[in-house]
Order: sequence, then structure tokens, then C-alpha cells
Amino acid sequence: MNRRAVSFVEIVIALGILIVCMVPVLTMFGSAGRAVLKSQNLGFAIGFAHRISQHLLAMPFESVTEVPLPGQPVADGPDDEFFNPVSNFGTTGANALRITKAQTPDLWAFLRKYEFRYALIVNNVNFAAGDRMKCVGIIITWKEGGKDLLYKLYTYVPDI
Amino acid sequence: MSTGSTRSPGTAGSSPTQDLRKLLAAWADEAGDPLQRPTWADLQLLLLPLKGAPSAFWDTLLPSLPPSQALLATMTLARFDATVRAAFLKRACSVAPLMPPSQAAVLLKLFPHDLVLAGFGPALLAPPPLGPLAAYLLARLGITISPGDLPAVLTATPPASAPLENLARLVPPDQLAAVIEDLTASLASASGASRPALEMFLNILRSERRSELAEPAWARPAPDQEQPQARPPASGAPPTPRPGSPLAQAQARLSGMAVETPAPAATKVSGILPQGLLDLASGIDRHVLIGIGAIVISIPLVLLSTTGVSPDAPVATPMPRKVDKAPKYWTDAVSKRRITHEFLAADNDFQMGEMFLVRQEYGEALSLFRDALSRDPEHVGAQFRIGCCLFLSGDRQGAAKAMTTALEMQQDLPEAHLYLARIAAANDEWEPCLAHYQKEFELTGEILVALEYAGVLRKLGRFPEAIALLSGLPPRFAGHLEVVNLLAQLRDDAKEQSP
Repeated sequence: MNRRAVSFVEIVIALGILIVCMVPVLTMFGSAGRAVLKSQNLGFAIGFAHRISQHLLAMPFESVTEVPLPGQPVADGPDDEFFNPVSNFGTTGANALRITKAQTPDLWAFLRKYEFRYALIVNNVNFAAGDRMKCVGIIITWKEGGKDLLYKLYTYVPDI
Repeated sequence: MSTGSTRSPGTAGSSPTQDLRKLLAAWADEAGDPLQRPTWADLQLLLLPLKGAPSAFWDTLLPSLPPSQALLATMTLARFDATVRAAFLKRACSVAPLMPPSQAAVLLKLFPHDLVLAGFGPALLAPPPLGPLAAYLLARLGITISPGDLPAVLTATPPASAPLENLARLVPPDQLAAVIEDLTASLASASGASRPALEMFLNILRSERRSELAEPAWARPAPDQEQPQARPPASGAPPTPRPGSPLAQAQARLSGMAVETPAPAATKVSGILPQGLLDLASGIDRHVLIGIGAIVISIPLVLLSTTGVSPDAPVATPMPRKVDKAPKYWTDAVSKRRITHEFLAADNDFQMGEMFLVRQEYGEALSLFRDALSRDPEHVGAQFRIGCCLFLSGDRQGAAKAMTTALEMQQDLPEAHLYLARIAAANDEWEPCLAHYQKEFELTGEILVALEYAGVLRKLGRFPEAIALLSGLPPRFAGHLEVVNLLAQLRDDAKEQSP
């Protein structure tokens, strides 16, 4: 009997069909994964904004100053009131942890990957009664799926 | 920022300010990197807690110091702490014109170029003496600026040869030809005032031989000017334009945040495969080649569709160092709306307006909401708040118009119908009033709206409708005290009304 082997062309076509069938399945997983990713990044952004907000309320009134857009990077950023140092479980400055590759590698890698940044828009408001406040717009930006995303939170700092 | 230290180096019998002056003097006399000098350890204990002190403190202290010490202190604080950097760089700009330019240049050599650029870059836009001085200092330190900022800087620079000579040194040498080309093109459209400066600058750029750096003229300040002043002179600091304005953007770029050179034009790809590869493929069937091509194209597509699936995906793209340029717009992660710089400025005004509204300062609030709306005509919140302010300040007609416009912008805007109902009630227009209450209740289902609505129905003697409204509330409101009371009163009223 003259039996034909499977030719290379047939293998290629079969692989092509397989790939075409796999695309919707993988896309389904992909979209679920992206939803998780979006939720995770937004959660981080909200957390950052609230951290800044809490620190603003504890800072001296005069030292609440503008951080213009595009803002400061959270990872590898300079020493500031908000993220560097990010925590200190010790009793001296030597124990302070900063968001750097050496000290907090996982957090650093995550924040660098999505380019998390923060900016502050500060406006001084003087009321007729003589008291004053600062209206501070806290802007958190990051990159996700080729898009520039933003989360904003406004907080009011009174001059007490 | 707290240093976490409670120790003080002050000796008994001397005030902290005197200690600070002594340490500053000793520190200024030492050599080397300011942060490595022996006195810095003691000095920072006094200096750093003061960095958040009110502006008035620094405005008094700095002019009373020798200018070299003041410049050293302000630049060091700016270098040490990013949160106060902007304020101290401005102070450094105020101090620099008080000393001979060459001395300022020697001091600034101790600091990183990006810090000096962040401080004196925006100062290029300041009027003389600061603007030309900044150009001299940057040129002396070999710092260059982005060619895109030259037009703005040229506008601020006096049309004299010395300042323009210094300015020419700020052009990156590798982009000189492109700058000349751009400026020549803009010369044609230049107006009468800026044309001579532009022509002179172009001549300087074209001349192959550069003269020596021209040191700006400096006159020692009169003794009375060296005394402490309540505020630094207005010309001694870079201008502070409104955020988002072209001048502010130029300042931001000049401060080194967006100094990006345009990428060289991509080399044209011929699209022709190497001859060797073609020779290899010549022996393979055409259909096989198409199949391989399909697979090669499909694999990246499949990979692309699955990238970003795992939150723990390995880090593949490190953050570039020079991304300090704000994008044209962002996407709001919550509302998905496009956020532009104009929208942020409008939202800023809106948020300030909210503060005045809460404080019942309706005039100020109204003005801010109108500003917000003029910046972003699609800001529904601002349009709605304009209506609120007008209503609360007694302008019912204006309020009704504003609320109607807000509803045209967003049909399901909560509270707009409520205000329209209240306005109609105040005008004794009961049918429109009830219609607005009905729409508001359908939109929000709020119990307070239902109570207000039922109250109006009761006032009009339409008890069965009011009873039906309150009885139809969701079960969770069944025990609400006000609902129970009003229902009881309505039933009594209905009994009295019936024969």
C-alpha cells in the first residue's frame, strides 16, 4: 500500500488552525488578568494618595509645597515627606527603609515597572474671616497597557 | 521632615541663631563637598529643623548673612531635601545677584549640574540682573539647555551682545545647526520688538569664533541694601507664572525636568532581505514559506494577548530616567474620562470653590466655579455648583437656567431636579415643581427627596398621592421616624378631608 506521510505544509496548516483557536481562549484569560492588574494598580494609587493626604495634615503648613507634573517618581525618588524613607521599624535613622533596589527590591520593581509618580497641586485659600487653608490636589500617575493613567484626590490643609 | 534627632549642639548662653551664624561661617571656610565638610554634621542639626520654618524667617535671615554663606546654605538645603527644593532654589536665585558673578560660579561648581539647572534654568526667564546672571553662571559651568526653550529665553534676554554671547553657549553643540535652522525660520515671522535680538543671536551662533565669557556687570549693594529685608526684591527671583501657562511650562523644562533631545530620524529600512537569506529560501516551497510566515506573525500576537496576565510578571521594562515630560493627557482610572492639563486646572478652581461654598462665601465660590467652567466647558460639577450658588444667594431665575444647562450636559445629574423643584415651589409653580420632585425621586430614590416631595403634596392637599409615595418606599425605610410621623399625619388629614 502506498501510504503518504504527513507533509510539512499540513503540519504548518494544523498549527495555524490551532493558534487561531487558542487566541480567543487566551484572550479570555488575558482580559481577566488585565482586570486584576487594573484593580491592583488602582488600589496602589488610592493607597499612595491617602498616605500623602495623611502626611500633609501632619506637616507644617508652610512646608506643603507644589510638586509639579509630571511629578516625582515613587521608586528611587528623593528623600521626601511621603515615600522615602517608606518605613522605619528601628529607633534610629539607620533603620529607615527607602524604596530602592537594594532595600525594598520587590516594591521597587513593581513601582518602576508601572512608573508610579506623584504630583501635588497646591493652592492657598484665604477666607474673609482671616483664616486660610491650602487646597491640595494629590495626583498619582502610572503607566498601564500603554496608557497614562491618573488618580486624583483633593485634600484641604488648614493653617492651625 | 523630621530627622528623628532631639539633640542640639547649642552651647549654654548663646542663642540658636548665633550658633547657626558661627557654624555657617566655619562651614563656608572649609573646602570640598559641602555635605562632606567637618562642620556639616553639627550644622545640619541646627539647619535642617529650620528648613520648614516660615518664609519670613528665611527672608530675614538670608539677607543678614554674607551672600556666599547664604548661597551655600540655600543650595545645600535644596540638594539635601527634595520637598523644600523649589523654595530654596528660588532663595538661591535671590541671593546670587548679591555677590560677584565669578564668586557665585565658583560656589555653584560644588553642586551637581542638574541641581544648578533646576534653580538657575527657570531664572533665565527673569528680567535683568537675574536672567543674564543665570545665563553667565550656566555657561560658566558648561550646562546646556533644551533648544526648544531658546525662543522663550530669548524673549526675556536683553538685546545686547554680552548676554546673548553667554546664551549662545547654552546651546548644545551637537544641535547648533538645527537651532540655527529653526531660528532662521522663525525670524521671518518675528515681530518688530524681538527681531533685532533674534538677528543678533543668530549672528553669534553662526560666527565660528566665540569670544570670552562675558561676566555681567555687578555693583556691590549699598550698605542699607545689605540690611535684613522683609522680602527679597521682586526681580531677584524667577517669575512665578500661573501653573500650566506656556511660561510655567518653559520654566519646568528649563529646570531640567524635560530636557529631552529630539530623537534622530530613524534610518530608512530598505525592506530588502539579505541576499543570503533569499538564497536559502529559494529551495523551499512557496506555501511552506507562507505557513512559516503565518506562524511567525501569530506567535507575537498570542504572546501580546497574554502579556500582563499575571500581576507577578517579571519586570521587563525599567523606568527610563528621562521621562520627566508630562503627557498631553491621562485617563482617569476611576471615571475613564480624559484628563488634560486644562481639566486639572479647572478642577483645581472647582475644588477651591467648594471650600468657599461650604463657608457660605457664595460670591467667591461663584467666581471660582465660573473660572472652572471657562477652562473646561464640559465640567458638569462646576455648572451645577453655579446653580447652587445662585439659588443660595437668591437669584432663582439664574439658578434655574444654570440647573437646566447642567441637566442638558448630564441628564441623570443628581440634585439638579431637586433644586429646580425648590425653585418652582418658591415661584408657586406647583405642577413643574411636582414633576421635578418626581424625576429626582426616580433618579436617586433618596428618602429625603421623598419626604420633601410628600411634604409638598400634603401642602397641596393631595394626601392619597403622598400616602402612596411614602407607602411605596423600600422596606428598609418602613421604620424611619419621619416617614412614620408624616404618614400618620397624612392619614389624619385624609380622614378629615373625606366626608
